[in-house]
Amino acid sequence: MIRQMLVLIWNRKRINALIMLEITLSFLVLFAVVVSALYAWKKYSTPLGFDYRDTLSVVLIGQWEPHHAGQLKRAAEAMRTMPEVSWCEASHMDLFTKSYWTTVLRHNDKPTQLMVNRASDQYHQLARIPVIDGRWFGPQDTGGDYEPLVLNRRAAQKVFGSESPLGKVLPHSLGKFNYKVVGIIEDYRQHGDLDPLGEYGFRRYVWEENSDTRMRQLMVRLKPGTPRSIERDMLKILKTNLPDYDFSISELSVARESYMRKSLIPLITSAMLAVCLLLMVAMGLLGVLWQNVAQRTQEIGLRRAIGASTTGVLVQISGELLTMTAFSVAIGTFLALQVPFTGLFGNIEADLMVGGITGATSVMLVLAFVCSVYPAWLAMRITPADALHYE
Amino acid sequence: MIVLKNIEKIYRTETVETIALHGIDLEIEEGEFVSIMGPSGCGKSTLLNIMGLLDEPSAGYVHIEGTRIDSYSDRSLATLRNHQIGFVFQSFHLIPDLNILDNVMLPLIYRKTSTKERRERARTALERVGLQSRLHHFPHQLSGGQQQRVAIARAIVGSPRILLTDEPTGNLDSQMGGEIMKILQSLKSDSGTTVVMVTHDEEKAEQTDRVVRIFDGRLVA
Ligand SMILES: Nc1ncnc2c1ncn2[C@@H]1O[C@H](COP(=O)(O)OP(=O)(O)O)[C@@H](O)[C@H]1O
Ligand SMILES: [Mg+2]
Repeated sequence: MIRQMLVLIWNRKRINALIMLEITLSFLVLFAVVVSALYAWKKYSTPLGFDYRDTLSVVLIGQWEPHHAGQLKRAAEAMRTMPEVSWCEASHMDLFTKSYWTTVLRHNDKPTQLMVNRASDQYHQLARIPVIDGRWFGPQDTGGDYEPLVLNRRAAQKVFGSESPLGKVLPHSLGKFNYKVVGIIEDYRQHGDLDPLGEYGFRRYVWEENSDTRMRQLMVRLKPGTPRSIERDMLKILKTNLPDYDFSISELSVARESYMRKSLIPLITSAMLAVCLLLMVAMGLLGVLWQNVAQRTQEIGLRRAIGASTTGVLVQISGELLTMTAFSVAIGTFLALQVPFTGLFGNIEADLMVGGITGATSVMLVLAFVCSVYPAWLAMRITPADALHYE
Repeated sequence: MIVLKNIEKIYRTETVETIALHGIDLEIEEGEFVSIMGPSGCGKSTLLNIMGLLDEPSAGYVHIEGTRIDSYSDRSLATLRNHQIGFVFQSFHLIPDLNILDNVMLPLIYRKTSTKERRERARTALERVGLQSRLHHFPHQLSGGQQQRVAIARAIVGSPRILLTDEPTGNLDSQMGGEIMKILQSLKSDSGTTVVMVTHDEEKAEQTDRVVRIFDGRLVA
């Protein structure tokens, strides 16, 4: 029975090659869709690594000059005296926008690109960023021959692998000074919930009287339930201390939602495209498989006439298709495993590969099973006499 | 051997109702070579299909070897077809993608036999129809007469007690038809196989033990 099944598959190699090609292509499309969906879900379900609630962002609009550093420091101090304000700290990069700032860290000649930000000594407390190893930077880092650096877990892993990152010294990309890794945080996903799960680092911003280091944003954590009218009082303090600037104040929770809405549009569009693509592939595949079995109605009639039982025929027909599907899926899996090496889609993480291959494989097997058993079953509802005359 | 009791067969479609067989009573003895004759459309194939358990009568009963067939969806029907009955069709019905040997072995894969034994028996059956040199050919590489001999080999490979043939010479020229007749006759005389042959060739019918005539779905004396 098995030998004969394989003989039949082999002898029908020309038509079967087409069917297998169709299955392999469908598998790859399905794989791509599953991986993208899993990736989107993974991004969405991964914590941001900080708390955006009750927080205002104050962006400074104007031309930075060294003496503005002192003004900024006093503005922050003045804000902290307001009873509604629990924290006021500096953090350079906008949250929930497209903007980013990158640098390259070199360790053992291996470069790693990461996004960086610059923030003040208490910012991790304001943003409630858990430090999972080492510490956030602080006054003890002043005067050292290095600049302190806090990395997220992914960056530490990528740069140092299994080595312990704490205390490691890394040269600045232009060789101006050395960084020293002082702490590890879980994450700081500045682009929000759909931020690619990337490498991230914080550099230290020091409050000084004069500084060439431009700082463009103050973060303010308010006591819960503070009304927005506080922004008027804040503006007054800001204007008094930083007379050369205009200010743009926004609530992080609002920014997050509107950015999310904006990022969802392309996501929904591609999801809809994916669904259309899947439907087309499914229809094509269904047609091919269906026809393959329907064309064999006479053969089914003959097999029953010479003594095959209904189950015998079902096992044979679905066995053939499942064998071919298994082959095609194996080829598809081999091809899918090459995708990360092409570098076209970045580094696809192992769990996504496994999920994509498992998902696509099971769908293909179920589809092959249904597409062989159901039409074969239909062909067996008519008598063998009718099946033999079926055109 | 084969007993048909008051068989009716009515084909119903949305618009028409065709009475293909009407009140057929027929007994065929063990080892008999019977031919069924009648004009086209009179119900010969329908009758043969009912004898061969390929089709269900609308009324009446079929007895094969003394057992009455009650259920037409049963798995035991498959076993009965496989072990007791061999079928030869006018249009051969070989599987084009299997070679001759595999085609002939087909009935045996639904039995518990070793591959070796299947091969042996298939070879023997092919020898019997004079095709031992064509084992690895595919059906399309053979002439019509040869294909029909393959179909006969397939029908007898499982040593059935009954061989049902539906116009086995209908698609063949007279010389090939003659060869097929010889094979059928030898089956009857050598193995005592009961052979039922549908034909509308008077000459061929005369070579059999008994001629059963049908007209418009009824037996005529
Ligand atoms: N599956 C079917 N559906 C409807 N009518 C059928 C079917 N098979 C046969 N018939 C009709 O039954 C009658 C007998 O057919 P058949 O047994 O094939 O005749 P024969 O073999 O004697 O030429 C014919 O009128 C034919 O049209
Ligand atoms: Mg007929």
